[in-house]
Amino acid sequence: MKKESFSLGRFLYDNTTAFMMLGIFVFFSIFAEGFLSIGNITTVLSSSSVLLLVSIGMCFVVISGGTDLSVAAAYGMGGLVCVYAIQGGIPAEAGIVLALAAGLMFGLINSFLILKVGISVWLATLGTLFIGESIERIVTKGGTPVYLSGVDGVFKSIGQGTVVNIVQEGANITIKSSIVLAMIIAVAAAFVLKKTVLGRHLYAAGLQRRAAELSGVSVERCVTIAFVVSGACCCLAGVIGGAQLSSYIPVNGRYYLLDAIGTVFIGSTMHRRGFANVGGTVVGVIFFGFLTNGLNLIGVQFYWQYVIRGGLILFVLAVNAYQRNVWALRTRRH
Amino acid sequence: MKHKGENAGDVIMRYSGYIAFAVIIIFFVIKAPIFLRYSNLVNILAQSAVLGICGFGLTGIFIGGGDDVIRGGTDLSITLNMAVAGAIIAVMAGGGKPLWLAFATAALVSITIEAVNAYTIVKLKMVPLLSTICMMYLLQGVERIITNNVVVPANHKALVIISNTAILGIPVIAWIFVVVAIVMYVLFNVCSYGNKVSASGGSELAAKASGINVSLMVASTYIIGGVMASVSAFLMVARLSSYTPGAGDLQLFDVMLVSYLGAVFSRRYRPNIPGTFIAALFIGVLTNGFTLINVPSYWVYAIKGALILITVSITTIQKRRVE
Repeated sequence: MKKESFSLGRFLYDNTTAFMMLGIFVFFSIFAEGFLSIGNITTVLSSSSVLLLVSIGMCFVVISGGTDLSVAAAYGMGGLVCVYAIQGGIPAEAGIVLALAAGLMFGLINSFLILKVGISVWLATLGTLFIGESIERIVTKGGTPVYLSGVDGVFKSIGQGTVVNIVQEGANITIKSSIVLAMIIAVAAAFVLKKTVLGRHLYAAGLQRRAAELSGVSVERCVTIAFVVSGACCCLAGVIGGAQLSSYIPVNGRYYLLDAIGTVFIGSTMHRRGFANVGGTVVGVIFFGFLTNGLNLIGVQFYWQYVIRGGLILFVLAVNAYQRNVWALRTRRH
Repeated sequence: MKHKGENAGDVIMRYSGYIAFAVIIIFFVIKAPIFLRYSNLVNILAQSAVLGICGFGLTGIFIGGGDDVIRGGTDLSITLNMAVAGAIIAVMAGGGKPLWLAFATAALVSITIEAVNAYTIVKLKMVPLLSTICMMYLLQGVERIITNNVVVPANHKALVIISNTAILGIPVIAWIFVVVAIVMYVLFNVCSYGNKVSASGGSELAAKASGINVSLMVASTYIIGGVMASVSAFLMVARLSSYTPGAGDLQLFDVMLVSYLGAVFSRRYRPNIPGTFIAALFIGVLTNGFTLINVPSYWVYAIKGALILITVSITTIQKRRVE
């Protein structure tokens, strides 16, 4: 196939979503005071770690051809297990391992229900979402938060520790260790999905289940791995969330659930063929973070922020979809 | 009904959804004799109305959009749509405007919202999950702007009459639920419209080849969803004589559950209107029964979730055996 010569128009056309995001970023840089300072940017990035981890989990499941509504419950369960373990005098390291084990359980239960029993993905993860959330309510006697006094060691550093912390006049640059951890996991996830056989198989299982099976891919194994990764990522996110607040707040995960679906699908629109991918998901998470931050800094009233946020995301995605359709028509004509 | 080549076990499995429902009712009857009282049964019907009617809307969208997990038809904004409609009705009726005007405005807004959804899905070909989630964010804001995030009282005379009147011993709210159920049943299971919609959801290409306007069919299910959202909003406000902000966020997953669970109560295990009706009653019975036997509310969700998974598991295993 002949390689197309580079054309600026085509380049702009292909990356409209990214350019519109950039446009919004520039808008905030001009009109929101303090938006473009390094301090602000690092703060926004640092506070995105939880959503990033949940989104990576969701990304795996979406790639394997499903959706995981139980991420909300897995997030809560991770925090619950870890905070209760620490409260009970178990070392924090063991608490984190226990939380990851809980995530593993979540993944296994979901994939058991979907693969072995054969329940539809929506219904199965909806069921585990309900059960998980009520376990959170039952353990906390109806939903009272649990506060830890005196957090230290690994648990503190995973949530509140900083890698870079420069306090200068006017600039306050902090990069939290949690976002570094989340980014390392994101890079690892991107590597697995792009460069390994397992990653190829995951995409194949999601795209063409039957074809994948016929060519020797174990779809069951792929789906199980996707759900286990999702459970583990979400429980780790729950641990970080708990560590950031030195407390456990029950039934708090639903916000992340819907945001994670949003970021993964925004990420998929940035892929040339519309597949969910880690790179796009990271961009989606950062976009969400800066959108909220920018609207805050401009001083938009809190309720209007929802409207503008929803409207802007819808607009960006609608333009992307419109373009795809035009492009599809044009290529068909030739 | 016994089909060819079936033994008693198969028949039990086939109706496991109904059997689970019956067993639960018997359990409540034994544990709490009040359960069987006429007033309580009627109350359950009224309690299930909001969830059920909103569920009808979502079920219609499921039928028209197909059951693919990611690209299939779905509407995550439907309960927020209901919430916005409820807020409008409460604010207008509470502010002394005539009730019909309040409802008409709410219905118009709901339908417009769903028309936008339909446009993004049918014309722009966006993934329904994605475009409706954006709409959901947007409506969360709209709802809070309208209500200022405080409870809106709506002591309108007509609303009080509607929530307290009974015709032939059945509350008006329950009547509305039954009538809407019948209308939706006729629309989706009797009229040719229903066939065309299921064909569009089943196989888009085949439907197009046989001359069905698939875009129109899919868009119409969203519009019907908007109508259902406004009707359920009306009942919600009438029942409570007020509107509480956040109702939409809380009920999204319940409505989804009702629509998906409806598939269990059908021969082909697909989302359908009568199944949704039964599923809404099922959830209504569970909520009502557990309240009667004084189970703490935070246990109810766990028991509901477990029961639903068990029922669905049995049915699904049976479905696979049939296939």
